[in-house]
Amino acid sequence: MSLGRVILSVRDLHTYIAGFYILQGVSFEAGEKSITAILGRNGVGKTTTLKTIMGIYKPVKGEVRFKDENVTALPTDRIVSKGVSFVPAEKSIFGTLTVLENLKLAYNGPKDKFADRLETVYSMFPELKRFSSNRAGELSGGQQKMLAVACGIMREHELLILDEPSEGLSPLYVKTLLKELKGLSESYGKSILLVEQNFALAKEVIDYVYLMDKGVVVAGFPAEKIPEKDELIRRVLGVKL
Amino acid sequence: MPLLELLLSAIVDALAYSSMIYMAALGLVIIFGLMDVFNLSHGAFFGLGAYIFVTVFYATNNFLLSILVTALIGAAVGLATERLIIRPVYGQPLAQLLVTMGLMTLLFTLIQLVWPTGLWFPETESFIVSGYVEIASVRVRVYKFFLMVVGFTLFALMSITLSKTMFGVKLRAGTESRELARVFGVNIDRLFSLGFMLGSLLAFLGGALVAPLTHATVELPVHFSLLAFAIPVVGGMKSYTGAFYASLLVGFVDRFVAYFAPWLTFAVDLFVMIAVLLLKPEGLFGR
Repeated sequence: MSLGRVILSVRDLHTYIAGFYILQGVSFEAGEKSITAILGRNGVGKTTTLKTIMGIYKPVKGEVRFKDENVTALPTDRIVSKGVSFVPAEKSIFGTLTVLENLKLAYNGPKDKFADRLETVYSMFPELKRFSSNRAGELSGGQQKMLAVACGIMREHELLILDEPSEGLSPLYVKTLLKELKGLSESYGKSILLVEQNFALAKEVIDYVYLMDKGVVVAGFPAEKIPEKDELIRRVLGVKL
Repeated sequence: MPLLELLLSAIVDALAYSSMIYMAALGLVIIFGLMDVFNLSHGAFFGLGAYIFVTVFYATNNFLLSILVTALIGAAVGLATERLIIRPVYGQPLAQLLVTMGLMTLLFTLIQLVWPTGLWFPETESFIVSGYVEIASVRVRVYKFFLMVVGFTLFALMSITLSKTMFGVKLRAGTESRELARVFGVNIDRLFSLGFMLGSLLAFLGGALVAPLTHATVELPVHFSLLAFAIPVVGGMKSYTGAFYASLLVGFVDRFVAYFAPWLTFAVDLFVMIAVLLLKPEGLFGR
């Protein structure tokens, strides 16, 4: 791929869940300091791909390399400690903990840097500051999603993986969120991998796109090529752009 | 005894008994309430704590040292139990019931083999352990007040640990979702080992602390087993403050019934539990 150094490389992943053959040989790469998106219809294995990368599901075959190190099927917390931060689509925060406790739990860097990081995150999502001592379960759906992303950013990471960050958010929230993500990758040099259904919004910020269908990645190309790949995208996603 | 003195005596007994019940249940609040593990052997741990404490006390004649040794053995037993039989059955309540029932039977049998007639805690020179004070012409064992102080202290420590420390935050997070806790970078295996170890330590410690008053009798493990499980049920499974208030409730009901309607004792504790289960199944202090 044409986007400089590779931070994450996935080779021929095969994963079964409860006897169902979900990933049937997924391969792709995510570049450093850029935003990579995996697009695909519901049920083609996008979430399973992310959870296999994170060691939540164990693949029967294949390899996940992060910064040239084999991390396949390591315990999730080990992968996290190597610098991968994951924001799941469902169940992404602790409802019984307060907003601040969620953020504290997410943070794993040096103690003296905690206050700075918290300020950064609060300035990105000012609403969270107001509700910091509320239980996270009391927040609205949109605010919970914000908190989930905020937790993802709190964790020390070089690669941020987001599963459906825009799901359940109003278009206004999605715009803010994507703008923040773009800023994160541009000004802090973070790499981002996201799975998205809302292609219309995602294409504004992404650098590289992969299309997934029936358990495999069928195509990958830089964002500039989106217009000329119109026919393929429509066939795989079943949408007109 | 005139009514007023009877009342005073009953209140002191109720507070001391509440503390004892709380100590029996405290470890279970972590293991059963927070970690969702049905550890039927918890009462056997408590009983074993009492027996080991009295045995060590006979050997050393040192109260604090005996407490410390018993607590350390409790931690070791807890760690071994978690590694060997609990770890493979997380999230499987039925399997947990079976393996811990096996362990409970094993420990009860062991206790009967080693100490067939129970163990009597001896009189000591210590005023706190064996002394008496006279309050309004009622002679009261000083150790009862000691138990109240320890009970309240343990409650305060427990509340601070669970609500303020990162260990508490992690434990509550791990209770809500093990998978998500891992995503948050928590080493959940180590955390649950620690939690189970701490819960077992508290069971042994509780057994040791009540022994000077109750002695390590044959029926002690079974009696406190039932009480220990009644507390999370009455107080609310996920509520660590609930366990404290539930202990007070059960302690007062039990002692007052013992004083004024002795033929109902103990049965009434279980009536309280059944009534709570029927009327407010989530527990009196459940969320």
